[in-house]
Amino acid sequence: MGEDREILREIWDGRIPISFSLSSDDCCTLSPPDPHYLMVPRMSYFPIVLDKVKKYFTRSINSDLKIDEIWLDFEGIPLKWNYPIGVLFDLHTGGKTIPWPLTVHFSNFPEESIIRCRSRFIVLLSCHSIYREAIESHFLAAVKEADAFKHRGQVVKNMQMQDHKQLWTGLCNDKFDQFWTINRKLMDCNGEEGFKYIPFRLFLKDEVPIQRLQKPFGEDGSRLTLEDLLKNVLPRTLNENYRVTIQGIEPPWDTPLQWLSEHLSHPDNFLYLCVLQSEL
Amino acid sequence: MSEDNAGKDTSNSPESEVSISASLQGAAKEEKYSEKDSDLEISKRKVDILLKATGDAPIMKNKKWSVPCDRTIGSIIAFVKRYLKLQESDSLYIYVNQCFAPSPDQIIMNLYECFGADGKLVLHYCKTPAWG
Amino acid sequence: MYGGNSWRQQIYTSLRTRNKVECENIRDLISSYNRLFDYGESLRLETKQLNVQNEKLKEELILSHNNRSSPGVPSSSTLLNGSTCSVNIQHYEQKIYKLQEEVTELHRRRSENSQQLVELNQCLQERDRVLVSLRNKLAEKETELLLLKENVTALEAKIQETEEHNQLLRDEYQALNLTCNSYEEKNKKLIEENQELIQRWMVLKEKDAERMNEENEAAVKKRQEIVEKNLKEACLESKLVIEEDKFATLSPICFSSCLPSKPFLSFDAHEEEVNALVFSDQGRLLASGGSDRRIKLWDINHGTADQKAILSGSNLAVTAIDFDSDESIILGASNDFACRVWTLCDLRLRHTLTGHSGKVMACKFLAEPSRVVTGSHDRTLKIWDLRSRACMKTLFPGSSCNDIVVSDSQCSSVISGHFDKTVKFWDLRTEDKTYQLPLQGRVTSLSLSWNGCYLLCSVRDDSLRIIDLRQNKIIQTLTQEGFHIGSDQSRAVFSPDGAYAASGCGSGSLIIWNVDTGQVEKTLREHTTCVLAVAWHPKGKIITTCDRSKKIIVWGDF
Repeated sequence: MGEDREILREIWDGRIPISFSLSSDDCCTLSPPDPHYLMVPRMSYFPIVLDKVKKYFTRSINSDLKIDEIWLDFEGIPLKWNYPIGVLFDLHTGGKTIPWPLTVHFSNFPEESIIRCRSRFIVLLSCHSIYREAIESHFLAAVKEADAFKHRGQVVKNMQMQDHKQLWTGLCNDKFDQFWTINRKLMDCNGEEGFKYIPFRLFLKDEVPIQRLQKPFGEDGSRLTLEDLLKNVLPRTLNENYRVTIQGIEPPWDTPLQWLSEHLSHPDNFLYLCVLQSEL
Repeated sequence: MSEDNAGKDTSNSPESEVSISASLQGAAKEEKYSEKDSDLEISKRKVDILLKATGDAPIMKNKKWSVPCDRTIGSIIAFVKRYLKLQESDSLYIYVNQCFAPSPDQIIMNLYECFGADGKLVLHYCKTPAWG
Repeated sequence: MYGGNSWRQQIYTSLRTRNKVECENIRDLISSYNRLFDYGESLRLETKQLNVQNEKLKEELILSHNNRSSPGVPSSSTLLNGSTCSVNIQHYEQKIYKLQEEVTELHRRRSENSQQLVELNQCLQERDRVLVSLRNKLAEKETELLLLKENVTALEAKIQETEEHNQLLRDEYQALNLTCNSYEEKNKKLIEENQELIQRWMVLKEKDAERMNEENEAAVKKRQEIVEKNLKEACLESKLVIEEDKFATLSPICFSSCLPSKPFLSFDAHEEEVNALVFSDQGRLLASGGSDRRIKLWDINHGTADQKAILSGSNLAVTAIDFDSDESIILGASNDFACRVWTLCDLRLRHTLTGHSGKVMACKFLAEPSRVVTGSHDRTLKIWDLRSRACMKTLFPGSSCNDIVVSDSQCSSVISGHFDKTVKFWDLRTEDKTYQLPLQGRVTSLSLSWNGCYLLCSVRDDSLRIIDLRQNKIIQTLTQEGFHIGSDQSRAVFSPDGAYAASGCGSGSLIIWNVDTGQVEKTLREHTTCVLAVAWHPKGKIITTCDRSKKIIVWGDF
């Protein structure tokens, strides 16, 4: 694999400043508490980073509220905790609002909008430790799904339990080397020129993300680019008002898909593309 | 889950309830799409799915279902649980390719496009975690 | 790979920009905020703790004030203070008291501990001692072990040695086995060779025997020729004599015996004493048996003593002789416990009758020539069948038998004379002793008269007795002054016509009695030693006697 450590490092080091303020519904003090500020890795997930915030706001809320039923909203829209923070940031702000002001809630959990289903996650969300376990299992499921695209699931199947654990702890503890020792195997092409298919999710604002089969190379062996993907996946061509961002930047459309997948993917091995409306 | 399926299996009253609620949701979605983008007619499409039991899970009488393609895995899980008359607290897992468990908010369309074969999507369900 | 591409550069730059905008510009701010926040938090915590402490101190202060003011009840604060003081003092005293108690307690414990220490020390010393003894034992055991190991090695060496030795012995044994086998084989070969030699020897022997037979036959033929020649000569002499001769050969009947007056032949017949002397029934042959183990056949009819043959085969002295009626077989009893049969035609030993366990003293043919009776020193009589060469019957007279006669022509009766001074009569048909007649002394010989009516017994009381067999009674006793029977085997005989009886005397004289009158007819002196046997020629004209000094004398009036 043509590993470009410089790029990988920059991607890994991406952080967003976030300002957390307590929702007025849950506040029990006379004056609302000051907002809390944190630098949060783009690659991470909210359940991993919210410990300090929860602790900070505990004393300002009613004691009968459960702190583990925490959820966030931006401008009234609940944030889905199962997407990487960076993706949520790009999707909701277009990467422009710094620091990112979020409201913290401890009540009225919006089950329908965050997880619109009655699944294990609902049950698991009620306890903090299992909440973390929920995101871990979600993460690993995503890794497996991505490998199903890339290698028909063969690489993940041959990995051991401790490898999975190392991926997760590497991400949780922000250890680049620990994470990549394992992730390198997932990014390997197994002697072939590229992946079977590129695992990606394309986000249109307010819509369900799109997943499709996308080969990294054309039938004539030519490298397919970001443009090819967009043409293939989007039902209509984008006009000037739209821009496509990955990891908060707009990569040139002639960037090869294989390279993008290898370098700009999130830790769950998916490439997250956000199609945003340009601010005119 | 759609009307014709319900017609086939009218005796099953909980299922018909699901169908109604699901179709209501679907309708809401459709509005959204049609509002925004008339090209995205895909939501009207239906996809065949095959639900196969694994492990200790009870088998379903009718395995093959025709499903609107914007339905989420979460709704499928809820449907199967009701169909099999399982408790709310019981857990049910759905696997694609006998390999990974898709996120509950994943829609059938994406999975069908990526992992469907022979015009249908095979989903395995079980009551205990099976493949990772 | 993608390093040089513009899109990569572009991406890198935009990433840098992104990080700068989103992160670097504000990172310090946020981190300082975080630090301040943490600091604030810790300060808050500290403040809280200090507040709590403050509250406590305040409470304490109030409490102490109250205590001080309590003794002085009336009004002033000093009293209050005093009371607090006293309370304090009390308090302190209590404390001191407690502390003292504690100190004593501690002292007590220390002493206990020291006691324990001493005990433990003792214990330790004890253990040390035990340990030392155990060590010593261990050392001993180790030395023992070493010794045993040495022993083991020595024994192993010995075993090794023994095994080697064993191997050696086994090898040697094998070698010996091999040699033994070879020797055995050699031995086998030698045995075979030996057998072959024996066979050859046997063949040679047979040849030898045949040659001897041939020689014998040749001799017989020659004799026959001589006889024929004689006969022819006799034929030429006179016809009457021939007739007489013929008659004689048929039945030797003597009409009147004549008493010889002088010896006309005297010769040394044997190398030792001559025990037996018998004429054949026709008188042609005289047989003598001696202690020199031989039987000799003589012809004395022509005035000379022609020795016809020597029959050998006996291993000890010959004691008695008998011819069969055909003159074809001769019987000889011997001291070697056996009785032998020869055929006269070829002079060959035919049978050896063994079975007696003592010297055989007497032997006689029964009427059938195939049957023989013998009497022995072993106090038995045996009847033999020559065809089966086996003993047919054994009689038990209970005393050593000296002589036997076969009484009548039917042969049913056998008479034997015994050492126990009796004559016993046996009937072979009833297989039992029928009668026994006691005499005055040991019976040495018996002789039957020609008609079988009288029996002459020589008795060791120096007399001859004549028994009438019809009455079983002694009818005559023959004695003579100076007559003395010299031996248990002395034989006395009737004359062929039964008119005389003759017996040899221990002094060497021959005495002839007239049976009817009981008077001595003649006393002939020639022998120098004891006369053992007398034989009267069937024709009645010749008497022969033999003695202990090898001599045979023929008496006759030619």
